[in-house]
Amino acid sequence: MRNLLLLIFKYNFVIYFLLLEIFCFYLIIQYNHYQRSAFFASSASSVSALQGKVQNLKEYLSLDEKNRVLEAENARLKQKVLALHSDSINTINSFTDSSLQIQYELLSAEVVNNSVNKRMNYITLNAGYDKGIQPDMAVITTEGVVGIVRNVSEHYSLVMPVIHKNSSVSAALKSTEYFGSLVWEGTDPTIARLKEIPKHVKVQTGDTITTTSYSAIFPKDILIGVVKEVIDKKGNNFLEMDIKLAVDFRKLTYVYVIKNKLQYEQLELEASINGN
Amino acid sequence: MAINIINLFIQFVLIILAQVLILNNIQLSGFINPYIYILFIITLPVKISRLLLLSIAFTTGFIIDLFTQTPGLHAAATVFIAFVRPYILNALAPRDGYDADELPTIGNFGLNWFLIYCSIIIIIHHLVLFYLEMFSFDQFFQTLLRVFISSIFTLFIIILSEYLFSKSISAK
Repeated sequence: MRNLLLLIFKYNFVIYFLLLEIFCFYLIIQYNHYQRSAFFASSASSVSALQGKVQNLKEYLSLDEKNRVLEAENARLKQKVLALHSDSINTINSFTDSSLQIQYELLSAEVVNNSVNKRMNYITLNAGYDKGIQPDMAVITTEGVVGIVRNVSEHYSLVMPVIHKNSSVSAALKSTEYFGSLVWEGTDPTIARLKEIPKHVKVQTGDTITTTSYSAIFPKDILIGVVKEVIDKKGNNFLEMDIKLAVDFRKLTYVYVIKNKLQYEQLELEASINGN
Repeated sequence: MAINIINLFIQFVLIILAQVLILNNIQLSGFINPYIYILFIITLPVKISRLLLLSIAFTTGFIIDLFTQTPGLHAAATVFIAFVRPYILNALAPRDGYDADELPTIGNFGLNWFLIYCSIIIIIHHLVLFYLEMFSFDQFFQTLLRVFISSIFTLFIIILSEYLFSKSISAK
């Protein structure tokens, strides 16, 4: 017994190091599989005050540009209102539009933390359960698709953006309706990669890429980006292409979180097939 | 001795604030990620108790983890460099060994010595950090490139701040 104690005392440095290091690995592995939200909740409450102050400062510096974006959006919306007024006779035509409005509800939120230079980037929003945000909601801006809400706490939520190793969004070529998966290669935060487009499809640079109606998360026809370069991989029946993302992830300030009221119903129906 | 601890504490707070408020928000490219908070570990006294060194390293890394929402990642890397630091210092020891209470800074040992010591620690730290972040050998060479480019930037910023803030360097 005494020899054991002497041994521990002699190598206390290495043993203590091993203990700490193993504890760190335990934290890392846990984070990647389970307790991500628990850690996030505690860190969000303790550091968010500081982040909030930094965010205030950053916002002040970008007020000019935000004003311009808001003015443009106001103009567009006013136009739509005017069009609707003059269109009041054609209520049958606008049937699908108004049902879309009932199906999707928009909540606006502010970005308090962001990163673009990691393999797994996350965005923190200052709205959580208190504003009605739930996991698996779509996040967009006026420019296009941002990502999907992953974890939610009382006042904050964590969004997995398109620029994330595990992100995979259903995307389609607007002109042809052929769809594939949009993933992120991990090098450039302005470029994503669209895969699984059949080789016979004629794609040109500049073609628009939007969301499809197949996703229970995203409404259809939300802009994702434009084709920058088509990559022809030999020996493969599918095309891959580099997409220049419409959203500048380095400049995210305000986003819209979309609530799909029929999401649960669609997912349940799709899952009922798998059960049988 | 009491003044030393207060100084150290102020240094600690300043370095962490600089890291999380300034450097974490500067996003030059996917490959440039300087992490200068290890400056605090690098400049702890040479003969500091090894257990204390490990504990300080763990705390520093963990606080950085809180701000980057990556539990355990920076803590693991910082604890690792705290583990190898005594061995590296022994290997680089000047002929007569170190004096008690000495700080491994440019003022005490010269720029060359500090460059070698610093680069070794920075490269080891960034290697552990970036490969742990990937947790796979998927993009081996991209991660390696990221390690080296970030190390260069970290080294540059650390040397710069040593010259700016360390009072022990005589006019050079």
